[in-house]
Amino acid sequence: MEYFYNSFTEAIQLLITGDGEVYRIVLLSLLVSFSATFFASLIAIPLGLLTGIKNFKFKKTYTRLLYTLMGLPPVVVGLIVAIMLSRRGLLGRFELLYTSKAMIIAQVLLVTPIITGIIFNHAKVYGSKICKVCYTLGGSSYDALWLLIREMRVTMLIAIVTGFGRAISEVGAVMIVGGNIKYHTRVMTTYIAMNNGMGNYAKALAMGIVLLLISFTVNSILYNYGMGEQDEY
Amino acid sequence: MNIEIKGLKKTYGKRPILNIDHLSLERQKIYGITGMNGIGKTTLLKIIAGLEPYDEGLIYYNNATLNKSLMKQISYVSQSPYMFKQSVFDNIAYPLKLRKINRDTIESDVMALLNHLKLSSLKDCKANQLSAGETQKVALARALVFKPSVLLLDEPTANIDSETMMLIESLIRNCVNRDQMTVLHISHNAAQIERLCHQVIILEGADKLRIL
Repeated sequence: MEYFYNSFTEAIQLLITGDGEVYRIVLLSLLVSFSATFFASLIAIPLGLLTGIKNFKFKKTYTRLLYTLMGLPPVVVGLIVAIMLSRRGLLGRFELLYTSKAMIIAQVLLVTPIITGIIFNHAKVYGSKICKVCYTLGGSSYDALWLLIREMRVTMLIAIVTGFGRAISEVGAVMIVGGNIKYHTRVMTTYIAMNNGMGNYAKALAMGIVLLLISFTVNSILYNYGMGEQDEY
Repeated sequence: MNIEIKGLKKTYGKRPILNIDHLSLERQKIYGITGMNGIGKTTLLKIIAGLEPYDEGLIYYNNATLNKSLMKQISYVSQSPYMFKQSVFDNIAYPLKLRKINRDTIESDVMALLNHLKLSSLKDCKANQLSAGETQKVALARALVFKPSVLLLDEPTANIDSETMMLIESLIRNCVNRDQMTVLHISHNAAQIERLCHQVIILEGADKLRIL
């Protein structure tokens, strides 16, 4: 316990004194995770809404597949993306491996099913009900879509926050496709894993605290913005 | 609006639900629909509202088949209405906002309904936090506010006390007379059907239907 306390104190000192590398890593982590969540949301929100509301053939199979993808192992995603981006891979000519872009691609693949799944589940239960109410009150398809977005905005925020949480805390995929290169592709999670392996527990813990603080701040902002409404219902 | 149903067939899987050879509904009349649970009352209402597909048959609304403009004149209140995550006022005003009615008219029309249904004290409350009875009243007000030609009610007074039930009945009667509305009203309350409805449609089986 004393050892843990000392590491914790050391971690706080490291944060207060301001280490250049630490801040660079934090900024890169935020950039990668925010970008991945943004691009994943662009795909996942319409996909989740559409597949949730519509009845189509193989919807049950689609649901099972989606739930499986929600629990995709990051190392598998990392491996697939790395193979695709490697020099001999399908997208090798773009030379993206070991860049932050590769990390974003891997995280988009991880986060998209999570956001889609959360929105899909909600839209499946309430989506058609909301649309039907809109139609019976004289609304068009466009009105129904707008109403659906408005009614589901809290769910969408929850999905985005969950996706961001997954992206920022993920280590396996970014380690494989990013390579944990100092000043280039090193992010918070790979930094923690590396320092843990080297026995630098204070540094690892300091970054862990930063990770938690960022997660708390993002959640607090989104909670104040819209998720607080959830408590009222 | 006059509605004519010809050769309507609806099955769920292999189970026949509705098989209506002919049914004619006239405007400015209130029709009560009654029958056992699962007999197809709600399905019939949903089909007329254009919310449920059917296997065979034709439905004419003033001699025309259902289209977007006709659908805008049909209002349906379900057994468990969905309330938007907005105030009671905004919920009732929603159909008028869709029709781009000016703000003053919206205010006066919504307030008139709120006052009639004794809901004015709940005007600013969140609609999805209301009791079951209040929810049904708000849903009814929301369905009536744009003066539809056809009003389809699926047990609208199931959770409502007798005093409010009378209020609702008088409101429906007024709307039918004023706006020449056609009302189809599902109810298990025989006394209410007798009080309110001009005719009663009794569903006794998929292809057994009696009109009294």
